Amino acid sequence: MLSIKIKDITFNSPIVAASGTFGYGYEVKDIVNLNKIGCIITKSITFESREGNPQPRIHESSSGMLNAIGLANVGVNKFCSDKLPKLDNLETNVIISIAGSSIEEYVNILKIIEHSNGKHVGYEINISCPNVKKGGMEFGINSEVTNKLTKTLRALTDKILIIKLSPNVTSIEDIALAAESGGADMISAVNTFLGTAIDYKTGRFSLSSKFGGLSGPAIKPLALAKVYKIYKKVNIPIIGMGGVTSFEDVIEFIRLGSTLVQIGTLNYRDPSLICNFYDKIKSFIEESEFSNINELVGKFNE
Amino acid sequence: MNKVINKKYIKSKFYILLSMRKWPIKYIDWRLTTAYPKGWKFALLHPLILIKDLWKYLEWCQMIDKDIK
Repeated sequence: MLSIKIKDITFNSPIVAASGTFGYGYEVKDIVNLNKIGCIITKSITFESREGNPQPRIHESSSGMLNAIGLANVGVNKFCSDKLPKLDNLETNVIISIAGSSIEEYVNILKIIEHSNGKHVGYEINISCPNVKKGGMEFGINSEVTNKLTKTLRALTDKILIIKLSPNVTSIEDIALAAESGGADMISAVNTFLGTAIDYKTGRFSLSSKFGGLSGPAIKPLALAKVYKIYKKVNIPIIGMGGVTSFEDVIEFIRLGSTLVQIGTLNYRDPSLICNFYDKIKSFIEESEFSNINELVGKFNE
Repeated sequence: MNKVINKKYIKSKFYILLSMRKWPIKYIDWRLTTAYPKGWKFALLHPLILIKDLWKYLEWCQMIDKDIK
């Protein structure tokens, strides 16, 4: 009833743990019923290891969170040797998030992971990190470069290829179309919105990098609008995300065109909360006129 | 009245903290690595920053709990 098939891969549920909110994936296996989520997207992996931005890099704000972690991760080689084997036995699908600052970096990371023979089912290409100087944003704001990057990576893997888009652009539909024509299997929409915060007494910025990405309930209406715009333009499935805190929010994203829905900031409150949605969505479908979750995708009234 | 509200407020922070006891060490380690450049090493060397950030986090939890239906 809640299972979804994408490119021969079955997802148990439309609920997805967003990148950077579930660690590398294995850290949460003892506190989360993984059978109730469709997949985990790992923390973004870069070629070299990164410590990320100096502290402070998280700022709690009203109905949301500003983060400027700056792609802190162990680097691709350590990821493949230390982390990837631990993900092979998880009771859900794993998608690996990749970030880079050049096409070559994305290519090199993907090649190394492909050769590691992990059981992961796909890649989410992060071309939209707003809080590092070279976090892929130059790809995320340019249709041509997005298309070129997608085409290049498409040629290297048969696994599911997802392009994660930035909302901080004039026309997100154009970037989505560029990813689709480059051969992407799915679009993730959207990454965090660029934001900042300042201490009103001292005038000091709340984040060391001044700017960060805003996530959480505050951005949900903005994210829904982006998902709707993309859905009207592209034919590939969308993974919607942005401020989901309830099963009703998940249904809203699905009705506006999302096939899967990522949950991020809520995991910072409690990573086990994500499982509660499964039974509630199931009950909702049972009580509705729909026989399965797939029928609900894009069911809105104009 | 304010004292009663404050007591309730502090109590709910305590319950949030208590609910975190089920978090495995490897998950806490990852959370600290996410918050600080050197993870738990930074936290140990800067206990005041850790306590201040933990308090801010608990306040955020209370705020976000109002958004969770």
